Amino acid sequence: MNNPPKSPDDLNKYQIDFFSAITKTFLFTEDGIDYQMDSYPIDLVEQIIPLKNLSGKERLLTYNQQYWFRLFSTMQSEFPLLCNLLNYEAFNKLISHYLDENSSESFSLTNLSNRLLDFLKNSRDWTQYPILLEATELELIHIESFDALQLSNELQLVPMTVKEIHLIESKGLAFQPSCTLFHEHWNLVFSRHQAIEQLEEEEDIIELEPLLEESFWCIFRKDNIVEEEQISFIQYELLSLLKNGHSLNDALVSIENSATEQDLILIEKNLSSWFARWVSLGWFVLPK
Amino acid sequence: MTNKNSFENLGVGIGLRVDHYPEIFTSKPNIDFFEIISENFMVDGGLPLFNLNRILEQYRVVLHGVSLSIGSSDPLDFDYLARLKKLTKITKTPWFSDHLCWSSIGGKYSHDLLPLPYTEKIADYIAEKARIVQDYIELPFGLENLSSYVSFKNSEMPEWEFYKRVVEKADCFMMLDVNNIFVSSVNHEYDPHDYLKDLPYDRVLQMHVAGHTKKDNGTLLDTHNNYVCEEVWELYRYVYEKTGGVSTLLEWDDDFISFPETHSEALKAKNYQVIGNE
Repeated sequence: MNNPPKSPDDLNKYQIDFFSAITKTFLFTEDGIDYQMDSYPIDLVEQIIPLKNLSGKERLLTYNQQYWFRLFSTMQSEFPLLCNLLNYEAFNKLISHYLDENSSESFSLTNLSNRLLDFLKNSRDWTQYPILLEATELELIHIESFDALQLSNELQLVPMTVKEIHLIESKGLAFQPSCTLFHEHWNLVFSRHQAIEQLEEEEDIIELEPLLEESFWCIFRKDNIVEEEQISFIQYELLSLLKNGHSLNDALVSIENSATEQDLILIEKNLSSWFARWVSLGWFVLPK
Repeated sequence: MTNKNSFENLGVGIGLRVDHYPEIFTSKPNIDFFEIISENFMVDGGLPLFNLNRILEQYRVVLHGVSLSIGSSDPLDFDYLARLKKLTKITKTPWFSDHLCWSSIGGKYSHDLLPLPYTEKIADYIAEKARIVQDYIELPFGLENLSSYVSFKNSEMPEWEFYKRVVEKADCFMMLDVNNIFVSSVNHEYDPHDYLKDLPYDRVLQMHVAGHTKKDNGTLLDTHNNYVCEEVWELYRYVYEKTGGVSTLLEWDDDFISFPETHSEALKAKNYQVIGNE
């Protein structure tokens, strides 16, 4: 291939200045939003043709507003629960802080939130609110499940062939990439449904107060809808071991070591029906 | 119908949006074609491709991108282009388009369509990149004119001359958005007919129409959340005749109305499709 086209010298500086102006964060004050137009790069502002009723800065502000309003709106739709728990203003402040430090590096808006959980976990302001971290984790699982690949070698039937049973017993089960286990300490799955309902019915937003309630879930995509299936603690333990690459035999041995006698009876009695249900929900693919 | 170039006139289409899926999948409406936002489907799998395949079973699809960022001083992103090329094969699109703008710099994305100073050097730089993109994808490449909210003192020519220079130097094509012409003409205080006076109409491969919003300060925003105004339809009438008739697409991206209402808004285009005897 020939040499790549060479950018005109002044284009790069113009674009760095423009990007810096439109990504300038807003100040959220008691009186509303304070735009920081005075901190737009002066070289850029001087190049913009003013109109009779609009200065160069005011014209540039349109791009500054569009940048943030688009990103706020995208994140609000991806994180309905977090947005409800924080309220819109606090949510927008969080997103503006997050994206100021983590500008998008992808052509797709779907990757915008990739580093949000790490951002929260690394900030003392947020680690004191574990419910918000857990809500973020739940909503990220939903986003990932929506976009995940669907592998074609899905385990379809129970009972399985002898070869398949042998593979599972010895090598373990692989999961569909859309399938993720979730351990919650508040009833966030339920609360998330409530938050979405409020948005869909365009009701006045009522701030939700999730209850302190521990439960376990598998979040997965079936027939191209992301769903949640509640599971017991022992099922969560077993599935976690399988997900971490243990064979079924190893997983059962490991559980036997820590489970109560009652649990063991439960497992022995229900293992086949559990698997029948999980297979019917399309959680597994055959190991290679 | 024959037009001034060799592109097939696909008729009147609608921009495909997720909100439309329930209606499309259940009632299978008779639509000439859909235009998809390429980046929404440049993924390895998951729901977006599943839904796209269902659409492709029934409809013709053309690709329209928003993140090529051809005007960026960053080099072309060949990973992006490889994904785009793969999507052109899946969809069998007759052409592909993106905007005459920039949207990323230093690998950071604004997710917006940002304006450029209209200088000869920048036009020639973009033309060179556009030629490479068209050669790489191996399909006709349409560049779309932008709605913009600022203009620059260091511009050496009006937008229409810049646009013409880029497509002619690149030997590529125009995705002409008449709403964008109207929006920019108000924002920059020029007559939209000056824009249309001397365009190379044989290079127009598709047209866009859309609605816009007026801000309190008088700026028009290209929001795609409204009905097409009469002034834009009149510009459409003019361009349609000049081109000899090209594929037309209604963009509606926010504050959605029902799918039948969206379709009927798009079909209004037929009332303005007059081809004179030349």
